[in-house]
Amino acid sequence: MRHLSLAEFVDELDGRLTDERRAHLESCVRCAEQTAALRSAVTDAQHVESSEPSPLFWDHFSARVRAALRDTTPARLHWWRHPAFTIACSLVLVAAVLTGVRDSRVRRAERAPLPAPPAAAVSASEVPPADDAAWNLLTDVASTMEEEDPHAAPLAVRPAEVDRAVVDLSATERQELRRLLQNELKRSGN
Amino acid sequence: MLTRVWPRTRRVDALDATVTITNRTDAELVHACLAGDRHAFDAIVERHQRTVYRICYRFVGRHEDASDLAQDVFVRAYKGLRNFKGHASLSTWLYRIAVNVSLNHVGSKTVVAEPIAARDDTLRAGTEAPVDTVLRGERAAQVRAAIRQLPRKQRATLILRIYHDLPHEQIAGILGSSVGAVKANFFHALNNLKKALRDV
Repeated sequence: MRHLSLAEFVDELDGRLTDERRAHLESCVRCAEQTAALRSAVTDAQHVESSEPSPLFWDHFSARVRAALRDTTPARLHWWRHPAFTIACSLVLVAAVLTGVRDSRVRRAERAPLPAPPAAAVSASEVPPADDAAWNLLTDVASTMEEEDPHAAPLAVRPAEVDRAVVDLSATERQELRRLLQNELKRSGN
Repeated sequence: MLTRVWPRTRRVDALDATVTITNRTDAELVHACLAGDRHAFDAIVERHQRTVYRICYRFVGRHEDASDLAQDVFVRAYKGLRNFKGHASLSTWLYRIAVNVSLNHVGSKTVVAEPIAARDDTLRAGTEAPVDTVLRGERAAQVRAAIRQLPRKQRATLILRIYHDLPHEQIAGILGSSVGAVKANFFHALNNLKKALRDV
């Protein structure tokens, strides 16, 4: 058996208690006594009458208020509290922040050392002549090939094949290969 | 065909203006007032002065104090009219100012209620025996004193509910609390009032 809550006692005074809860109230001595005490307090308070001023007082009162307000104006909205000003300030602030971020990035980029220009992979003398069909085919394929493509296509070179290719080279070709490797080692050593 | 246009007198114009103002809603009056129409605020005062005065009177118990406080309420309302956002009704906003002004007043000084003879004697003169009038006046004074001893929110809730018959929802709006809190305050106010009167 749950007793009435504070709000339910007030609902009972207002005549809004649900039937279910009123059934409890009618069977519960404690809740009934509490309700009776509250009703008694309401009656006591209601018997205190308020003295009503003379009807003439209200004309006099209006005049008093008017006189008190004679030199007063409703508080004006200060220009810095105007919504348009607030929006404008917000936009300026956002623009300033964005500009600052961009400038700092530019300055950071300017301070950073420039990457060294890539060394020429091959000297002019090493470039095969323009009418070399094999070289032209190679450069055409290389220019259209993505970085991952050699692995996707079965173009990866197996170690044994490299050894065999070196063995098959002529003396001149081997000398040229040595020169190219030495150049490459020198460049990567920098 | 000629239509005769009757000249309108100044008195008729003034009458029309008064009728127009009194027909306006509170929101329209606030808008007009902020636009610089002084008469609009007169209409607001006219419309709400009685309730505002009665709220103040219930807190302070003296006509002079209540009328001063009610005037203060309207002066504050006029100065702060820009702050009225219209989320609650104008009456709720004005009553909130009245409750705050009254609570500040009764909190800052000892309230001396009017003597019993100044108020209740005239109300039922000729309809009840003098001894009953005195007894009723004494009981009323005890109840007023007991209400003045209530905590601020309980007192405000009891006054707005019992003497102004405001719904709990509006009282919650005036006091800035929930309906549940208003009901709890009302319950405790009645309980404390009963205890205080039992102890007298």
